[in-house]
Amino acid sequence: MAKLSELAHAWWGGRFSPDWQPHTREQNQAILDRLGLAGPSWALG
Amino acid sequence: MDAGDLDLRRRTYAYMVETGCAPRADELGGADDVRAGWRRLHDAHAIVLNSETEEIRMLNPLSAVPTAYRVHAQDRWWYANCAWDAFGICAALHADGRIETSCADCGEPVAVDVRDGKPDDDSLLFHVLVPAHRWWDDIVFTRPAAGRDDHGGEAL
Repeated sequence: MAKLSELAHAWWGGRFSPDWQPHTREQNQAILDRLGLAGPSWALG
Repeated sequence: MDAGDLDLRRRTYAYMVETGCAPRADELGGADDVRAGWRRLHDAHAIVLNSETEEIRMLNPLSAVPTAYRVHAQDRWWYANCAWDAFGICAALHADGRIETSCADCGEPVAVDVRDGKPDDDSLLFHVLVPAHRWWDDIVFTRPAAGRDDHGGEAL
């Protein structure tokens, strides 16, 4: 759960910001990679 | 995503964060124009529409409809789309909160307090049954679950 909370903060932290810009797939993959979420199940394609 | 659609998205989210409810199309402008913009945002995975009604279904991490994931934060109860989004509501609000749901395996109630971005119970598991490259095939089905035992798939 600690990892999930870390992931949620990295993924959703700016979602309500008025300056939000869409994440690219590469940005999202970088979040997963940074948290050690590797392997085929975590590959965004 | 052009500036007009980004602004529509911003106004849609702002409405829900302020009121706790998703807006109807006619509350944000001309209904036809708003629905067309929402459709473009849906296609860009920036919001999720109800497939039957064309109204808002998800403003991730918020759910516009009741779900099994309730989050209390900033003096209001919210619905999240899944366990991941439940933590995401605290993250997006930059607030502490309390998450209430039930174990996807045994059905027992589960409650987690989030303080300074950290859950008070690290014994729970988070299950992701759908691989990442297929999350958007059916985002309503993808919803990752929380539980006390390993159900297969990826667990955190």
